[in-house]
Amino acid sequence: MKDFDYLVTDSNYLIEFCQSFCKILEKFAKYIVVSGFFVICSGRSRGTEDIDIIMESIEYESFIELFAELQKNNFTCLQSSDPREIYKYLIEAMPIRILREEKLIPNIELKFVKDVLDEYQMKTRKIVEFIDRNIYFSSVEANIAFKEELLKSPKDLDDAKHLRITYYEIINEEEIEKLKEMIRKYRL
Amino acid sequence: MCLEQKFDFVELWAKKFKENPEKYRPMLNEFINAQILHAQKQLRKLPTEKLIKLFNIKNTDLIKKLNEER
Repeated sequence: MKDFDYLVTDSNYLIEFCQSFCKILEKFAKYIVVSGFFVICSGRSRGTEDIDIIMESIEYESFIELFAELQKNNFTCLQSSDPREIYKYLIEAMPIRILREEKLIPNIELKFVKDVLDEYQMKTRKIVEFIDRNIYFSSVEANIAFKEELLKSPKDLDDAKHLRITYYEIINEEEIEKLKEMIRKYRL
Repeated sequence: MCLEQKFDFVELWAKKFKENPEKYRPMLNEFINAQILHAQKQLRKLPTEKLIKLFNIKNTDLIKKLNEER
């Protein structure tokens, strides 16, 4: 890909990159895109170099098929090109990084569901109307709760502020509180 | 209240974007693409050894490709 090939205004490179990955991933497992990329898709003006994705745990045989299809579509993994090794990372709850066309940026940080909180986010995943892309995200409430209760950096608090303004008509405060309680129980 | 306290870029941008996403999304897309392009260009200036350390690359096929590319 030449440098300026993706400088188009109807979409952006991050979205195209994420969509092409998720299209393959969803054939094999449920997934959610979380955190920064969700906020950027919701209009927040900031950059990012990675996209965080959580996927259901799958059996090794399915993972081999998934990985073969990813390779066919020019995706590679930073940790290894051996699916056995990559799968080991995932089942040991370590994230892997996926690139396309050997470009180190942007990349995808992918991990398996690890606890009740991840499972809950998976159950409440959504295709967000405002974003108008065929990508499953964790709920607005989950993104706000994580940023306000767990991550808490200035960038994360600004992200949460952006989400609260953008989605104020649909935000369920009780749900945010419930998620914050779960975060305190399982992550803090 | 002084001007510095009143000015909140996140809030201003979020409100503007929400009012008219069709107008502001192309601008945002250009910003995101430019940021990615800039980051990729910066990485290209780094020697492969540094890249390997920076990204903790363990994939030997990828390391070989990166070495061939440079």
